[in-house]
Amino acid sequence: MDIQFFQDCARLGVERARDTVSALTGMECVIDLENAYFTEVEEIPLLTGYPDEIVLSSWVSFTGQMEGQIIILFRPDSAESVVRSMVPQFIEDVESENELEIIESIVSEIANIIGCSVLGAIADKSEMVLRPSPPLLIREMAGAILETAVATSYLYNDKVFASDVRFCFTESDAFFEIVLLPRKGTG
Amino acid sequence: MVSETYRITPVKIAETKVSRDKDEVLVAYSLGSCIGLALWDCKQRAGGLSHVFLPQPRDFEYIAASGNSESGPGFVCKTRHNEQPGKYGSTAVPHLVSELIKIGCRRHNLQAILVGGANVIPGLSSPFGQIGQLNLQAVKGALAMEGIKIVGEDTGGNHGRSMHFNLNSGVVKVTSVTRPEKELRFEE
Repeated sequence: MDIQFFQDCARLGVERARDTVSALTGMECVIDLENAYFTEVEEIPLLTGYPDEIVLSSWVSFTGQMEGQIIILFRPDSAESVVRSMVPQFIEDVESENELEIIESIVSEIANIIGCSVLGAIADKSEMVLRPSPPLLIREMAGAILETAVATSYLYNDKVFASDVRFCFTESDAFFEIVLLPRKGTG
Repeated sequence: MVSETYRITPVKIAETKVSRDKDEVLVAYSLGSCIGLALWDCKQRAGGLSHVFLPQPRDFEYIAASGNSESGPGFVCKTRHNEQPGKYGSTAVPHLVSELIKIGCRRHNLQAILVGGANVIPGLSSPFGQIGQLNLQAVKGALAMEGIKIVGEDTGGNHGRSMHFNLNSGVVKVTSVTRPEKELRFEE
């Protein structure tokens, strides 16, 4: 895999995710792939720009003809803004102690759609069979999540692909990162 | 502990920083599987911090056993071109000791505090085991070879941590998202 291939797959993946989210909600949604880059593994935890801040992260590992991990990182305030915009009445009606759980559940679903769409795009473009694990939602320091994923990946590969994505839904904007950690010798 | 009079110095992944500046606080942010390795000389009130990323280089091999001289580490581990010794547990310990001796610390005064080594992604493991545990084993093994006592640790579990090492007081403050703040103290 090279950066151009990743960029093409990430773009196709977020376009499919946009269509899915729009179809599910009946509301127009815009997802822009702002950039895609390749970097050394030890730089990744710092590239998010907020290693010590808490993020909501969806982590999926995948096996098949290519193996690795895909991580979608949302800032909680950004995620909350999108969810409130998507389902404002629903959020207002829930008890405050359940609010975080509801938000995390919806963000998890969005992240799952994005992650699976990107993986689907990689599988389609490369004509490979990929088997994703169930998504895992983690609320932690961004750097702690990334360095753990990256350290495990580093045992196999020096390559990390990342892209910044802008997610715009009605009047809210959210930014998230897609990080792909392929395992060496696969794909 | 950290007031405006202190200067915060971040120690990024794979970096090692040493200081005898009593107004300096060395900080390793968002440790997941990484280890924050702090060494302190209570007599000199000087110390250093390494942000260890992995257990050892892929072409790791011991060249010799550890020595006890003041001149530096007694064993050598190969790192790849441009790699920082602080990146690996096996190389960070002798490198940090060596750097501390350069600024006037004495090997026999050094004590260690360890923070991190968690697995924040449940179920994620390499064929060799969980990276956090492997890092911890590598750092502890290297400390044992250097004859350095571990006087405190906040390691393992599944939560991220940040550590603030106050060189003047010998106090390490540990913060995390899900746990109360914790203080670890070097022995006077």
